[in-house]
Amino acid sequence: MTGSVRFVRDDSGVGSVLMLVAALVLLVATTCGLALGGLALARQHVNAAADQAALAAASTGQCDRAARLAELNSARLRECQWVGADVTVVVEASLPAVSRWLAWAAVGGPSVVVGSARAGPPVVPQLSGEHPRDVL
Amino acid sequence: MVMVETAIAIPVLVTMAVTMVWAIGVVMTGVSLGDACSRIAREVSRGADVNATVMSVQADRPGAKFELADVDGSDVRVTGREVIHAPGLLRGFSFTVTRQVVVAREGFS
Repeated sequence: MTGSVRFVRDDSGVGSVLMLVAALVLLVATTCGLALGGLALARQHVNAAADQAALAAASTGQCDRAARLAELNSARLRECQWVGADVTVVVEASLPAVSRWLAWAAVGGPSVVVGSARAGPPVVPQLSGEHPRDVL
Repeated sequence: MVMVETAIAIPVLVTMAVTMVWAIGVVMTGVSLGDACSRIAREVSRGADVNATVMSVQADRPGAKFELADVDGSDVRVTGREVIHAPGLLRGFSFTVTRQVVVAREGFS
């Protein structure tokens, strides 16, 4: 008994495989994009909260005001440190559940985002030139 | 057969790609809306005219709506909302981006 192997050029199913691969690539890209976008949003949010908290603390001289502003901006005050008349605040905020999951799935990312800001009285520059434009 | 599979696959992939681009657009809208809210809040906390400030920001973002509220007399809360419609055939779907900023009034202690 003799056997023979016969190759048949049948391309059915190739399109489905290509589609699945392309869909997978798009899904991964979308997940990464959404995760990074969520992190960018959270980062902007926490930086804005830090700015407001630092300004509130600098204008009142109280870290309690910074904590209150951070709380009103859906963040938590982590640090409030005075150096002379300047205050540096560090605030943190938890990522929303969906963003946290996406960040974890895409980049093994953090569940908390931290931002900091410094505020104090304005510093008036000492002009040493003959004309103001000489030093500006 | 490949032609048929490709004919089905391409619209699906295009839809996915468009959805991805739209989602990125939603995120970008969220970031810029947050900036707009911060700008309004800062101006109003300094005592600027509320209507003029909101109108100047809204001139750049005609689709956005802003609400201002006083918090305890010492802070200003600005809430911005903007509806983002999905593109093309998915136009029926929409997503409302909401951002909120609270700023302390200057001179209040």
